[in-house]
Amino acid sequence: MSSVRQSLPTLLRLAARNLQRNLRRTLITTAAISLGLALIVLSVNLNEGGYKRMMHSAISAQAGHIVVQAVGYQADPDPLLLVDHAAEVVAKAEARFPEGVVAARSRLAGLITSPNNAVGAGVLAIVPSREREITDLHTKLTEGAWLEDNDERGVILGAELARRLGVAIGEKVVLMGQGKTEVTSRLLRLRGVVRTGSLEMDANIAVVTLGCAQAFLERPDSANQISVQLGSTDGTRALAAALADDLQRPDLDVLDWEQALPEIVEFIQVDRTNNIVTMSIIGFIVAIGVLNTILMSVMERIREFGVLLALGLRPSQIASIIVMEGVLLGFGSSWIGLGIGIAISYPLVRWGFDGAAMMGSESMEVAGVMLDSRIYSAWAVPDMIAWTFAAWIMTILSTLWPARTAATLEPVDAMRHV
Amino acid sequence: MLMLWRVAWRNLWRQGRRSMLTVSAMAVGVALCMAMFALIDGMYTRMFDVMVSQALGHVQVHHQAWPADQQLYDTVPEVDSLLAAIDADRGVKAATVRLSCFGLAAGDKTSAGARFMGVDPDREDQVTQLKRRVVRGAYLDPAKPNGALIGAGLAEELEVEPGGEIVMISQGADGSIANALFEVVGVVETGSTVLDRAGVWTPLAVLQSTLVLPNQVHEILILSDDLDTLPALKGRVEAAGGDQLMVRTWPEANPQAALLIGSQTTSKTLILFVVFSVSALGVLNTMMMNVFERTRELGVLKAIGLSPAKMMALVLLEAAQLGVMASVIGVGLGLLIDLYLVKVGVAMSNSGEPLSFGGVSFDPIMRGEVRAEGIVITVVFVFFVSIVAAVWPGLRAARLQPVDAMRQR
Repeated sequence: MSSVRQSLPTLLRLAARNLQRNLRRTLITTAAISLGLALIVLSVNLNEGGYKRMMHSAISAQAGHIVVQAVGYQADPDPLLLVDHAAEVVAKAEARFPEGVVAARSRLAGLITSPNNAVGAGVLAIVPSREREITDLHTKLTEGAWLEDNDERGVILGAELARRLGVAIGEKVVLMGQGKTEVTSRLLRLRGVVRTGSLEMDANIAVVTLGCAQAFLERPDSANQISVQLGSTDGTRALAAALADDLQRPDLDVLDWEQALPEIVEFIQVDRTNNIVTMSIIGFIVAIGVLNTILMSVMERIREFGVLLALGLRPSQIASIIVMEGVLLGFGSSWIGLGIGIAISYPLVRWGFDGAAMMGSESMEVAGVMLDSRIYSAWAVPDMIAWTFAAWIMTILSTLWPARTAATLEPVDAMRHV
Repeated sequence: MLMLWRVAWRNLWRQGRRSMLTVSAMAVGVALCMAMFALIDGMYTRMFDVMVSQALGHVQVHHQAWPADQQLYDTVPEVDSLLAAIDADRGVKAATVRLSCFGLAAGDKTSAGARFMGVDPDREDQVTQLKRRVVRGAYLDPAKPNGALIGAGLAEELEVEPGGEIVMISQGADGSIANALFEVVGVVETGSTVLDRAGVWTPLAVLQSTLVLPNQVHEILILSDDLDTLPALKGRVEAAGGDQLMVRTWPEANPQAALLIGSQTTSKTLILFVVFSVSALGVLNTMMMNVFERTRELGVLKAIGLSPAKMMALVLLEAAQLGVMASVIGVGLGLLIDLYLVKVGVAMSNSGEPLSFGGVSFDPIMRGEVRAEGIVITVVFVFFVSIVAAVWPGLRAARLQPVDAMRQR
């Protein structure tokens, strides 16, 4: 026992000296490991940024950190599946989450007609003053003005939609769609035009007030969804349960964002798994390179090991020297790689880059979420730590075969080796 | 040269284990690239089919005011003679005409916004292969002038199945209310999220009369056999039609789609770069060791008169041989993985729900598609990388001074 404790520093020193002796080879190997790790760190951060962006867009535009909706709406988003007594639900949610933003929303689908044309549209019904605090849609206004909360006859149209209808600010359009029991129409006036940068969205979006939708559906004090926006995505399940307790409404579902946006949660999960597979293969390629270098260094030193064996070193100690080399090499390389990875990720986290060239437009749809083309990375701290240790362990593992080779040497044969 | 080739080959096998390890690292890289390319190609073929072949055609013809305004009365002038000229063009594989409008589609209980498209059933099938996209019921039948196909999402929303009826409510070209009753003959899944949610296909004649646009169409979509000569085809169509036409190739018609589809090149380049910058360091390392180990021996070769150029060539040849072996093994391994990706595919979603991306929905199981060009690029690249990585070691070998080199133990 005591001999091991004494010999460990000696073995470490020997290993360090061996690495130093062939500095060029050590540096090339370090470069391979740290470059591989840096690329992995860069890509986990980039992915993390993508996931954050997706969740943020989806939570703010489509759901909320917590949403309240009629039972069954999640499976079948029928515009007529409404939350009744919406004002009371909003008040209770505000009381429960004083620092959050609570917004009621509805969604209709229908046809918008003008004297010139008839175009299909997805209609979003909102409380304008609340929506301003959640999404940036109002900043995309290119003409006219944003809606007032009590404006039950106003509509904001996407730029392409307005052009196809041939209408200008202040002119009339008719919204036609499924009402409470039959096809209904309602006269609206164009208040403003938005341009989001996505051709599809600009040709399809119409925004009205919640009051307008309630009148259209003849369902006062109703909304499809009460959305609660909070500061963080953590612990929302328990908060949703607390809100459900406050409400005491068996006709309503209270969901957190993971339950409300299952496609996105799943998309991220699957994407994460696929990326881990790809990065592991890259790691494997690096590992073969490392194994090769260490194996070479062992073959070169066969004579030397023979001498050490003849001097009475045990084969296991020879093997330990080689494993120690891996420990040192891996330790240095993985921290250098982490450092490089952080350094090249930093500009992307801080300033982002414009992905419009890659996506074809200023915004684009993925798994049903509209994404802005500005791409930012985000620090994926647990992933970075995990990959750094993985690189270290991988380096150590790739010394095992060379170590075994060295340990099975016969002193006489080894010393005879040229 | 042949002598050098044989010397290089023998050198590689003197350290067989090391050479094979280097080769296997590169081969795994080749196989990884091939697998990623197969997945990317599978995805982009789907995107091209949905975004281009079905929605835009390779070349499209409209009234010049249509693309901006999409007004109902902006129809293609003198469509019959133009269509005859297009059909006669040798560069044209198929062409279809469409009349389209937005409206409400009402089922028994509920209604939804819809995009109605009047089509010639045979021509439409030749261009968009609509017939094989029917998932329930049957394709449009000339014997049923009021038959309609509807998108799967719309069918679900309206709760209509083949045999049911839908009412169309829209606006005619003369400003009148346009109403028509259709019998749903089939339900289609096109892969376009928009069309599956809102598309209704009817025979052309019935939509023409409903919209009060007799014998008129809004667009002609043309498929060509040769994607590289589209501008020439566009020119011929322009010459055949009047000056009120707007003829556009698909990248002109939807630059966003063109950029998105073009972005696959960026992704592939990135993958090649990452994978091979990692394996290049492996080759560099191996060749470096090779040269250092043999300093003495190389010195002897030089002393007996091998020129620096030949010394360099020797090292490069060794690297090239590593590259060739890596290509052969890598392509073999890659083809096995590709076979799996084509036959079995990768699950992109655990729930079995389709996944959407840029308005195109994908099967929950993503399948690869193998293209010869992807394999060729990978092989050329691995070969190139292994040679480039050997340049530095090669230069060292070329610059050896025989006397110094031979003195080294």
